[in-house]
Amino acid sequence: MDHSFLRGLLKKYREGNASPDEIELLHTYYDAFELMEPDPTNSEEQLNERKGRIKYAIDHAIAHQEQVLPVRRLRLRSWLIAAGLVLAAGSGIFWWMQNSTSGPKVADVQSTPVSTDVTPGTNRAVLVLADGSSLLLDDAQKGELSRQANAIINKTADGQIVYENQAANEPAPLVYNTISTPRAGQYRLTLTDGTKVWLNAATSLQFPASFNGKERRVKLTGEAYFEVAQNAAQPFIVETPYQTVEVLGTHFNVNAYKDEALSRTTLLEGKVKVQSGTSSQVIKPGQQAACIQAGSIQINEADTEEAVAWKNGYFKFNKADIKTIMRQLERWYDVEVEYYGAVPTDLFVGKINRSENISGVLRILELSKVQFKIENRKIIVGSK
Amino acid sequence: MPLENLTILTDAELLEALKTDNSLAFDTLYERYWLIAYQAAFKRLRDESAAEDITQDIFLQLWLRRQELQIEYLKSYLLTSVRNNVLKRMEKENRILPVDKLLEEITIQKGAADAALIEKELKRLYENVISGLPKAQQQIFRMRYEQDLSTAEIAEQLQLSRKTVQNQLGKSVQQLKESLLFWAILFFMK
Repeated sequence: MDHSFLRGLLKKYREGNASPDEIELLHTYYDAFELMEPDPTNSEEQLNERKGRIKYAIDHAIAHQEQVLPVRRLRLRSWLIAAGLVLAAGSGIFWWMQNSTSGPKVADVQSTPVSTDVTPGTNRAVLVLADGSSLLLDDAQKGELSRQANAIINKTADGQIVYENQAANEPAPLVYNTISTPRAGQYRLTLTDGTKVWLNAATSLQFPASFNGKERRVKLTGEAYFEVAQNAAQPFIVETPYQTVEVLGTHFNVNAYKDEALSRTTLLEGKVKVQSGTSSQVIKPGQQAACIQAGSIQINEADTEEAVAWKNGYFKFNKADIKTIMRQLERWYDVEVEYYGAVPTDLFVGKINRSENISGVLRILELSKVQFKIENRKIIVGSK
Repeated sequence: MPLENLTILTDAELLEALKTDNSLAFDTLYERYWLIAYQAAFKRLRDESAAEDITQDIFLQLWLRRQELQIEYLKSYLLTSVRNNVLKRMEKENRILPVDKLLEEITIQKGAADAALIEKELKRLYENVISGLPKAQQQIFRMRYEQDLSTAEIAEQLQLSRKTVQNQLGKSVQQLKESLLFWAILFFMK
């Protein structure tokens, strides 16, 4: 039963011409290998690297098969080496996370230990009322905080702000309030029409205390997720520096940070019209409208889960480069990032809980070829 | 589906979620089974990158065909996929370990008793296969593969034309010859 005999069998097997006896023989031959030694490389670090590398290739192939935006494909192709890390989804895939953040082997490979630590962001914001007075929302007491136009501003037990319409005989004057989160802050807000807004760190939203008139118009810088209350008679409009999003009633995320190259609107449900300069486009659920500057809109299929991960309490990276990741960490941990030497080209795939201290996040990222040093609130990024 | 609960979900529940395009369910299944698939391929091919390729391919197929696949036991489904891929690759890349070498390896790694059991079983099955052939073909087969005679030698001994011997041995004699060139090349590496 030599090599060429087996080869003949394998060929018949592949062509579907093998007899039951031949199939059984081949399967038994195959099964005999079960007694062979497995791959001896089994250090946690090597296994994680391998796991991430394979998963990266899978995700990459999926993205190709299921058609991604041309821009992204191009960018992906230019990255030759991709050290993908499949990271844990917060407490979701926690066993892996715990292993990789607390395992001694991981700590051993860090040439630069994380010396100090930075805690994650918390629920805090500043609310500026129409008269210019401001309320600090991190430790403001529960219950009614103030009244504006026809709205009562309440802070609920779970720490969010709710604007409630107050019955009134006269239409309310149009007065604007602004809620701003600092870096390392986030906040939730319900507007008088029932629209729910999640504000990410370093974000500012200006909105009328009560909506009246033909439209519901708010202004945003930074990033927010909206669940707009249905009202066909009064379209909801989000204005950002480069794009204006007009909706009837939907769920969508707007990312319009000044330090991000693209301003992006990602739609989860319903329908929205995105306008930028003189051009406008309607996007469907699962799509993202990206504007580099006023007037240019590019529609892409989006990873919606990635787009709203922040709202659900984690970072999700889908082949993100280190700079994209670090911009998010800068905002959420209120740190400054500096690059030492060449910027690492690794791509990252995975999820990390936003409630981790920054060291927890950096340790996971350090499983790639990137390494970090924390100096007070400054993170220095280098290559291994 | 709340994230916190994904790891405690059963395979069946995660496969259901997969049908609704839940990529987190996919990630969780990958987490759960990648190493099993990888090691199954590695044990046969002794090649890290080939084993990685196969692992990648079967999970990719699991995702792409998530709507149509009816999987009862995910682990056996995955292991069967690995087997199909490995057998294909063994043929295509000529990574075939002759049985005597395989038995040697098993003797070294697990001891003679295991190797003997496997040898017995393989012999029995081999006899089944050979005895299923027509008499004339059987003889040629045994001369060729058990006595390691060339087709010319067989033709001479049996007073047949070489062409007949070749036909009896099956279509791709050329292919067999090529594979003989690799006879001495052990693809098993440390």
